[in-house]
Amino acid sequence: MTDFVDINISYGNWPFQSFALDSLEALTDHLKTSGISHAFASHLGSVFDPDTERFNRILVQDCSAISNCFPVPTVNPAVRGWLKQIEGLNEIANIRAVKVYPSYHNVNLSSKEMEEVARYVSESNLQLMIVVRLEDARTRYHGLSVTGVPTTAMIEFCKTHASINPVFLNAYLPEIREISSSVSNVYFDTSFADWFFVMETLRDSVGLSRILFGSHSPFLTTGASLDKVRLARLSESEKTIVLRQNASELFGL
Amino acid sequence: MKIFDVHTHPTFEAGRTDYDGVNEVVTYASTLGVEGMVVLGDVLLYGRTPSVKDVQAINSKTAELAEWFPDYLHGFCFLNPLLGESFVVDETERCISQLGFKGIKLEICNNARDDVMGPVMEQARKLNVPVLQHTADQTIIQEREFHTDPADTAWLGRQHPDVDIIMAHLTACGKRGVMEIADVPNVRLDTSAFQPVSGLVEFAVMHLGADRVIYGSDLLIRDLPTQIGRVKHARIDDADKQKIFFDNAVSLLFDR
Repeated sequence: MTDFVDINISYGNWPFQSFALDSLEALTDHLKTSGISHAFASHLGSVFDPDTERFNRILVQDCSAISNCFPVPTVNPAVRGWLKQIEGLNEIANIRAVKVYPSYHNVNLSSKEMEEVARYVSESNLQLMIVVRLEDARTRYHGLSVTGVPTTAMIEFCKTHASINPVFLNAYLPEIREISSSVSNVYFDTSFADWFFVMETLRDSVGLSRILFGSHSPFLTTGASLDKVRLARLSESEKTIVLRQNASELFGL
Repeated sequence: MKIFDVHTHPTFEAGRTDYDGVNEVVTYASTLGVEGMVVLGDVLLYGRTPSVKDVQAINSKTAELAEWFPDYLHGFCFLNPLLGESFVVDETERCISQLGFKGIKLEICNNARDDVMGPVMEQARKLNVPVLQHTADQTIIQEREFHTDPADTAWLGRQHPDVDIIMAHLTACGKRGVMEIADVPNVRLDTSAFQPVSGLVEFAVMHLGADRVIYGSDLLIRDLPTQIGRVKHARIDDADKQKIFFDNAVSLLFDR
């Protein structure tokens, strides 16, 4: 099975981890050798630098040179002017989703700023990706006090904005189970879900229609993330749902 | 490629503990190439500092699993060193000398630098078995009073150079953890814990050599294909993967 869709890749410098695959081209070449033909990419420069426009434009430019690489620009609601930036990007690229990093940008999901983001993605028919975390809290750099987005905040956000279907990235299995038991307008990627028979657990407790493959490369080992689905005790059609079908439908591929 | 897993908990907390439940785990692992596992016990079932009775119950359950799958599951004797020398001696004699367990497992009852470790290490030396010490970077967790940091495991290794130690949890120990044990040749590192963070296996091989890196999954807490995948897809050569996946563990446990 090939032609997988990876909804969760990043590139650029990260101060706390060295990446062997240190360019978008190198990373997507690597993904293609693993059977991943489509990828949704973001630039890590916009996580810490308030100048998101600079890194979003680099992202759009880099993606334009790579087939089936879709830019997911960062929205930093804490920095004024984000709406104009994204609208400007939309004029030069086919943007299908935007990404927010609430914990890294000190933004509460119940804030007025996030309400504006939700309204914009709803009106623009964009998907909203919400990064719950980028690294495991137990192994992150000790001087970084960033923690995961609170589960209660994610649930409330979904309830408040019932017209959008946010995709939560890098959520743990207990978080996925708790959120999905409260709201249905939500998707999750597979990257941080972990437990024995985890994919079966997700199928039986959440439903595979809400689960999309995300490798979280290059933070995590791509092949290992892929094997979580590829070698799970699921039928081939169930694997296809997670590895390709859900993302194809959600992002209109 | 053949795989031997040195870090498993085939029964865990509220999950299944019956034969069929364990058989399901063994059967699935076998399909992924796993030819044997070390059973460490359900070590937190009774909390952080289990009693004599609790420890005996955990080890007796391990013995039951090993009896169900004698060629596949191999027990390690879980200990609470705080229970004292007499119990440590009695329980290791029961588990290792009588039941055929292959090593000693230590969790978070105490820090590896504590004096109570003396009798444990003496028994490991006397019975000629390795010690698997749970280890995690305490920089953020900050539980060093009872939770062992890589620096503590390295210290333990230096104090007991004739005892083989497996420092558990590559991802929880991180690059600093690898460097802590780099000059302590009797300390090996298992690959388990958390997500398959890229580059760590390669870093461990570079600084320890493939001979000192041993595959472990930490199942049932972890997804098995993901844990295997972190080694299978690491940027190291196949000969090193074979050592990590199988040869090192078999040599350490069975060629003594």
